[in-house]
Amino acid sequence: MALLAVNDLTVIYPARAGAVPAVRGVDLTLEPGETLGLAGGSGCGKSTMAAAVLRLLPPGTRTSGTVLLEGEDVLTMRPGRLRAVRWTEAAVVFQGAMHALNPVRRVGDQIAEAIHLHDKVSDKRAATRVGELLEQVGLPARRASSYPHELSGGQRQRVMIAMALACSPRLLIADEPTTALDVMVQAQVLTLLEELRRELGLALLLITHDLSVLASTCERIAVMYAGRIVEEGPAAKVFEAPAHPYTRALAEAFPTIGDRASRRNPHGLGGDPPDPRDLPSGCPFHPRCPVSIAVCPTLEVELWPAGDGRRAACVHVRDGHPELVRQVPPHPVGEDAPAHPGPEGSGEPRGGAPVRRGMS
Amino acid sequence: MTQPTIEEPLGGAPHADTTVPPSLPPQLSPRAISRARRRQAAARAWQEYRRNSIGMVGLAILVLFVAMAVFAPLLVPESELDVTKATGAPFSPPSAEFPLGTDESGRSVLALTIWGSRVSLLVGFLASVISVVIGSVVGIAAGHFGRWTDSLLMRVTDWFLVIPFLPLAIVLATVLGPSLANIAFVIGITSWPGTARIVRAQALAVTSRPYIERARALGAGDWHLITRHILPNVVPLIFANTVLIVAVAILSETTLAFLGLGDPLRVSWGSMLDAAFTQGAASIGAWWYLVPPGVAILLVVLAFTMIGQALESVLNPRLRGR
Amino acid sequence: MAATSTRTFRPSAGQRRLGAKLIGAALSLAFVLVFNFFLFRVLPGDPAKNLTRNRLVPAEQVEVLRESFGLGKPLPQQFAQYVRDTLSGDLGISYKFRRPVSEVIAERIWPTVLLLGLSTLLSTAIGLWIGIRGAWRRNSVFDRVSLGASLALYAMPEFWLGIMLLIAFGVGVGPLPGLFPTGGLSSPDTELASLAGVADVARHLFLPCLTLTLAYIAEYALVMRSSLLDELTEDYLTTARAKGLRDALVLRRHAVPNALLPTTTLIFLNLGFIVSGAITIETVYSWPGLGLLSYEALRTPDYPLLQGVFLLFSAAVIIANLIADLLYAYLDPRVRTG
Repeated sequence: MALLAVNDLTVIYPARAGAVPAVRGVDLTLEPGETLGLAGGSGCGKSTMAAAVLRLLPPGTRTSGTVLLEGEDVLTMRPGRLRAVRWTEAAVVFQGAMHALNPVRRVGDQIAEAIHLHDKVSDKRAATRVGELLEQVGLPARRASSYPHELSGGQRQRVMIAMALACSPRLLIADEPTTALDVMVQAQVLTLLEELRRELGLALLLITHDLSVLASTCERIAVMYAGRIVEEGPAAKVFEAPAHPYTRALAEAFPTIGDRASRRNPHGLGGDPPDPRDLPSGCPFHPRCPVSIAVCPTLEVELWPAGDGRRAACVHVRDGHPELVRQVPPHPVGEDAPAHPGPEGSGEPRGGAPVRRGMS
Repeated sequence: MTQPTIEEPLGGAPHADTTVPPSLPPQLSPRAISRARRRQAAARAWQEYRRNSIGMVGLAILVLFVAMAVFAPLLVPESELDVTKATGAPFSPPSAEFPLGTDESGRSVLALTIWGSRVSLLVGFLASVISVVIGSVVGIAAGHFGRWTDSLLMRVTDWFLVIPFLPLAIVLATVLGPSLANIAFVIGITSWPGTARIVRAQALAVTSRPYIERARALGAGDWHLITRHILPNVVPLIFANTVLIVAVAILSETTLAFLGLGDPLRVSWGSMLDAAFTQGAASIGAWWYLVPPGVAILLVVLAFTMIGQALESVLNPRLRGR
Repeated sequence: MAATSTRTFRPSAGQRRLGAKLIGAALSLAFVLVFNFFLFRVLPGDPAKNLTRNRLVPAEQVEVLRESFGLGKPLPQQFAQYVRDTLSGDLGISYKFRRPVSEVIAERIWPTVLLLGLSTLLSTAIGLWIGIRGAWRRNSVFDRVSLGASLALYAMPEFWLGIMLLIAFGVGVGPLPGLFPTGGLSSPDTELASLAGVADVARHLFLPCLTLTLAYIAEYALVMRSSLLDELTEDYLTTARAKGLRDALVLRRHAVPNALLPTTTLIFLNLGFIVSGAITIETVYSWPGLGLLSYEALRTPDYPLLQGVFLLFSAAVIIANLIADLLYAYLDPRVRTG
């Protein structure tokens, strides 16, 4: 049984100016011990995915589909059961460098709070466990008595990771764990996550806008655009030879880890991310797409096999010309490819037929 | 805190020329352009304001009271305020002749309430002008000149902020003697520190913008910088703040008048409450003498508060939806 | 964090802040003294005459006033004398009571402390509760009603509210008799140091305390509400929920403590506002405290007494502000160690 199975998930946020469909029919599976990277630009719905796994959605949010965590649907759980599942089966590493820690409570207390919630242990036992956790993430145990503002961004992120491990979950969701950190610290945090994952046999759902981070950390990558997955497959393949023009733009946006200059200047991708309330017709990417053709504004393509165990939602893939996505100038792929490609994962190829999904 | 309704004088030039009204001379001076642009911004703000129902209700109440104050002599002849010409019995309850009853000398409470609006509103506005002028000058000077000017001015501001308002106002009013101008002065001189703080913060923000440095490098003097760059950016803020200050000033006038520090020769809502209370209206249950001025104050202050909040949400989008 | 090295004392950021606050408070107090001193001297003409302007004051009292001001001596000497006297507790002689101002004031402190203390306590507790509930259940019926009521209470002069309550519950409306005494601290002939005496004082305290509580609730509720609304958008609350905390605990353990920080400061800063309320409400209910004393002094007018009360109120508020700063530094670790 898959550890996490998301089926046809739709999430619609309430808003005064009209409902915002943040996620529009997403399927994902994650096996125990597997790593999956979820990539996409701002507003593509990737953070909503993280929130949906533990049902951390604002009141009034409408959802459909299922999110099966160890076989149980999170979206329809009773509140008591939901609170018990949170942090014990899946924990989230939030963007701890900024505001994810309570500024007026000691970090040790914040970690211990999670332990006390789910385990009936003495204060002393909990304190010992907090010390162990901190040491596990490379911080001295005495840091437990620090306040968040006394720690550096990297240290806070480590605290956040220690907190996520507090109740020994089998699934770790890391939502932008390296954003706002220095390049060196980014690398350290990623290494730490990777080590912990291997030592503890965790499954990892890593969410970031930085495709190169995923390429070096994950076995599989899924790329989201406008609330849908537009490409998924083995990390190295997706990164090196994207089958969807948006993936290609993302990949070219980050030639090397942490090169800040290139972050500002995504190659070959003009325009803004679409307003989820008012998506372009057909393929929502077509107004920004360098290889769009006449049918794109009227045709919403589903995920099609794109070779090498990949699937992509592009008309060129459907028509059997995935190479078209890559051939068009001005930025042939390969030129800016990263110096260190990710580990060759076992991105399980899945039959030929695309998963059918209702168009709403 | 940015004021999106006001464009940066140097930053937003390109799209302004297309919208300059045709009545302006063909060669537009930069000043004319920025004036036109400012007029536009004000029109936009008004469009935004009109959609705020709370603000419009407040505005309606206020217009009603201002009209009442302005047209008081037409509504009620001034002679009705003369104690010697009073026609009613003292403390008589509401009747057909006196819809709101009479006071201790037999005068109509309705007439007093209508005339009282004049002093209450006038003192409120006058005090606010004094307060806002002092607060703006101090705030802009502190924010623009910085260094020791800033430290000194903020020290003084903090002092006024920390000293309890009413005891200070009482001491000042007692020394100056009771008169309309003095009351307005006392309220103005004690209520400016809040404005000074807000204006200073905004002036600091403006001063640190790059185009100010550019203007300074081009040889712009302090006066030019303050009047052309800082002032236009803090005016909307000052405007919203003023409205809230008027509410506070009217309440302060009422309190001072209630304590017997008001102008003894004129009727205000506060002095009505003072007379009613000292003449024992409360102990004989003459509610009709006490309720009208109180409700009038409540409505006017509420109106100003509503307008002020609506203005803040128009001028400061960050607060929208609160 | 080491504050000292072997050779020189180098204060930490926290200590430097503390020092600045202490100096600031001392400066403010000094400023009050200077202000009080000059208040009656900057006016043109003879200060003694100014003080007795248009009022019948016996000639010998004008002379006493002249004497007490040390008029005729140079200004610095006058000031030195004034400061010396004030610091030694000599605030002059009250015209009205013909006794030392300090004595008159001392008698009136406790009723005011009782009234203000109790109403501050009640209004804080209730106001914060309303603010928290309103923010948590934003736009609910409770939130809308309490918001409207707060704005209305905020817009009415507190003494007017007091008079209305006095008519409704003290004097009585129509056939309904008054339920509470209309003024004073206690009924005549009541032994204060007995159970009946305490009950009697409580009955007298009820209406003024209710008025002040209602008047202050509004502001605390409004501030707590907006402060908590700010806090509720913070990321660390999502972290707390993700950990499996129930909503009530997320609110109590995480959101409220953070939202309380700005509110705490406000409660202390508000003391100036509270003092204003004391003056008018004590007047309405003839509550024999410092507020009523101020009213009596200004109606006489009794300048030495007025100055004395002003000095005391200002000092109390300045010190309360200092406490607020220190408390804030204690409550907020970012300030404490930063």
